[in-house]
Amino acid sequence: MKMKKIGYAIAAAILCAGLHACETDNYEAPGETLQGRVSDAAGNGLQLEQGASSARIKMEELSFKNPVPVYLNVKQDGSFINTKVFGGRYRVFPVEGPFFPLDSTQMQLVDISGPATANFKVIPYLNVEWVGDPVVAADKKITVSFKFTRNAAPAGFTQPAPADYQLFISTTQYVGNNNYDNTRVGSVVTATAAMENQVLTITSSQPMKYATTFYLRVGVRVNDSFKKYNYTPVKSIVIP
Amino acid sequence: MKHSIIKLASVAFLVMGAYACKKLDVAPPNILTDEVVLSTPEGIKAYMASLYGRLPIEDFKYSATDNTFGYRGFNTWNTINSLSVNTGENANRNSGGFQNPAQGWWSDGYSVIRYANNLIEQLPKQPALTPANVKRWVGEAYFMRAYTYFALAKRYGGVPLVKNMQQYTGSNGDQLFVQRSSEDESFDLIRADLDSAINRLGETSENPGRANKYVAAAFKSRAMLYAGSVARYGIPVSVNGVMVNGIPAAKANDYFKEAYTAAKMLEGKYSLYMKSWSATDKTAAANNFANLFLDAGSPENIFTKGYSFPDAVHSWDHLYNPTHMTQSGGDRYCPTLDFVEMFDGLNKNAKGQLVTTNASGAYLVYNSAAEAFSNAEPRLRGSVLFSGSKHKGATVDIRRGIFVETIDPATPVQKFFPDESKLAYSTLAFYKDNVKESAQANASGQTVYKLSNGVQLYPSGLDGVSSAKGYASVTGFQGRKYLLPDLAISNTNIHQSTQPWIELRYAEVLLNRAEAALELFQNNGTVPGAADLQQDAFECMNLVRNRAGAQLLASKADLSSGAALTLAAGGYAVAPNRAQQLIRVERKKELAMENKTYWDLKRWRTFDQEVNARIWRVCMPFLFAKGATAVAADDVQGKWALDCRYDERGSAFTFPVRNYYEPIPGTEITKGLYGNPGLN
Repeated sequence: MKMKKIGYAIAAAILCAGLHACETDNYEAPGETLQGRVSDAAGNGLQLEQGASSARIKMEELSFKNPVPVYLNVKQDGSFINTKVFGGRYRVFPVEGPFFPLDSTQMQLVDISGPATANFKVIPYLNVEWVGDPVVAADKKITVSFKFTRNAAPAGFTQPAPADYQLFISTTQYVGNNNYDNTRVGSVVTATAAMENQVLTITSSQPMKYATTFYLRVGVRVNDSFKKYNYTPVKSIVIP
Repeated sequence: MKHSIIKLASVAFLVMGAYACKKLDVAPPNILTDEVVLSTPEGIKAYMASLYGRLPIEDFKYSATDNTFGYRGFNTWNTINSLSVNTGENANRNSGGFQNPAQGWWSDGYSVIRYANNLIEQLPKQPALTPANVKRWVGEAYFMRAYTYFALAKRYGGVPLVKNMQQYTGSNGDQLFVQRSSEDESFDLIRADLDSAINRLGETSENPGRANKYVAAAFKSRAMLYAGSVARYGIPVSVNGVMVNGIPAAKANDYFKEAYTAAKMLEGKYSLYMKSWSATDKTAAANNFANLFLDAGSPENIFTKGYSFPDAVHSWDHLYNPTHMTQSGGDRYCPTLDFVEMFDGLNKNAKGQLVTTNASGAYLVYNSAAEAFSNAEPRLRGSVLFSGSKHKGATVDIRRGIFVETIDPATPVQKFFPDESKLAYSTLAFYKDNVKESAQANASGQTVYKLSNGVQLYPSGLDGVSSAKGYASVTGFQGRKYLLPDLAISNTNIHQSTQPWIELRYAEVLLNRAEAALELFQNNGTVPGAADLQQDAFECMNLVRNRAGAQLLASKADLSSGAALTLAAGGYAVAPNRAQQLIRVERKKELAMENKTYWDLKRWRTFDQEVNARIWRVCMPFLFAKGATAVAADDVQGKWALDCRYDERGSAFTFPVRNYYEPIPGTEITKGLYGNPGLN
């Protein structure tokens, strides 16, 4: 009986010794908000891919000597919001996207101690726009027309050459190079500088499925080190 | 009892409390110090063995994704997701998209570098060693340091260059910090180290698997070719004034010259494996190509890595054999049709694609599933097994399905879908009515199809392709390279294989030389003593093509600077001009499944163009039930049709542009290393 008690006591002592370092983590959870938008010179939100695949917002917390960057995802219209940011002073700027890289003066220092906003104006490599509406032919293939123009490079940059274009088709509105039905499109088409301002057309490689809404977007990209697409806005089409 | 527990407890507390009272300042006899190990040749041999074992050789055990034991891809049996599934060399049922090999391999590399630095510093201080031995062994240490820095540089670009044995005193961490150097400085150190190795090493290796002068030179040709290509095709990016990614274009010719000169050193010292080669017998030439990977006495082997049972084994035969020829595993070795179509001697259309239909779009009827490939260059048949090929005393038994008996092979059957279609077979009414398939490929999982004459056939064969794409070939082909042809099926199991890995072989050196020569020739580069670089490239190419049984180049004029063919016109590789395209295709054919193509596509910076939402093509054999006979369960004779199409699964592979480099591991970024733009 007594022996058992001693056994328990020793067990309890070992447990205490083992657990003495377990302190409650009372560091406050991140709760601040940072939001903003990446837009072109005219103030239109940049057409991007939902998530981190075409551009990301890079944040560096400046109280660290060597800050490990934190990245925010963006929405398709170039806006972004994160409601779980640690308070602090950050250097914030969009990176890796289909636009000329920002120089240090365009990066923003944001003190986040409450809801904070950071809006950016960038120069997209290309402006891509629809020409008319998508057309469904009798064989249920979709044909779209579009054109693109190139933006002049700011001082210190060279204008990259157009690389290729592609029609992206999806059954969700989040259509883009990160989300499309690869069974319905052909391979990418090589783009050249001479195609600027020309009306270009692409046709899906397969007939579209009946009674389905498809979302379409054309992307054109240049030969820079990231090769991200500049997009048209999303259009939808209902196949009867 | 009670007392004994109290006693025990108090003794324990006493021991715990008292253990630190006296400092024990005696060298532990069970730990061998540098002085002990480095003073005898035996000790150095053991030291070298451990160091060579840690070299980052991407062998049978290099995986793109496995990190089960923390080796970041190295030293694992599980190479299902290998580099080769990203390049079209191979496809399997497990990999439905790009497998990123960036696993943060870093500290294991710097540990090898530290041990090599230790040898370089300590060996000359050992009085018991002869100067000749010290010279040689320091040369080996330089080779290993260069080898490891190359593994780092090709992943990360410029890396921190630690050239001496750092001593940590407990407080000097800041002084020991080394920032990243530029990429060209990193490659310059690799070049200098390999030159040191070449100057110090003898003509022969001390033991098999160790470096000699020519191993270092061969490796130098590979590393310098990589640097030259990065300089010519990469886009330099600097961080804080350090060009961490990319090399100034002006240095390209310098590196190509180094690559050419190093490769030329091996001329006459090694030769292509031709032991059972024949100019007239294609089967002999094919077997010769397959044997070169298994013959330990091959004069082509320059640097190999050995294995031994049971301590150091790999599982190539377990993972990569046809599924019914293994005890478990298997089926992960399925070359794509894109790969097969690169080879000469096939019936191809203007797009460079295999033709398996007649002019009116009906299937050609073959007398065997492999008949369409019987005239192919022997290297194809040395690299790939077809349905019906004999292997391991059995027959490779691949088919996608069986035409029911009412379908007569004499009556033309129209191709199921147009060429570019990606639709599944199940969407076609004719297919559903007239083709028997199986969701599983193993014997017990299939419903046997019985002919009116009593012959019984498995719809999917015993090696697939099954309609559910499980446990079977997914492309209609089966790889051959490095597989043991006579390992008994009953012994084909995990952790059993010991055939050596050939890390460097002479064919690669010849192709390195040809490529460097072409790059120089096309860009006004010269090498003293090499009068006609174009001619030299032509001769090297033809040596390799001759052994392969491929079509020979007629003259050096074939290596022209004219426009390269597009992928849609049978170019098979993206290249700046036709000559470079020929050499690139040659490399893809010759070095497939050797973990080389992945890095080639990276250094040419064509990966994102070649592998962009790419669905690999496959070749599905269908057997006509009418007239078929079963010689054995896995050996069925009859008439066949081949259906070429995109992978039914629709798995698309994309190489993301930023992956030309890998992100610097986060643990190193927090120490203050510059990151890689776009990745860190």
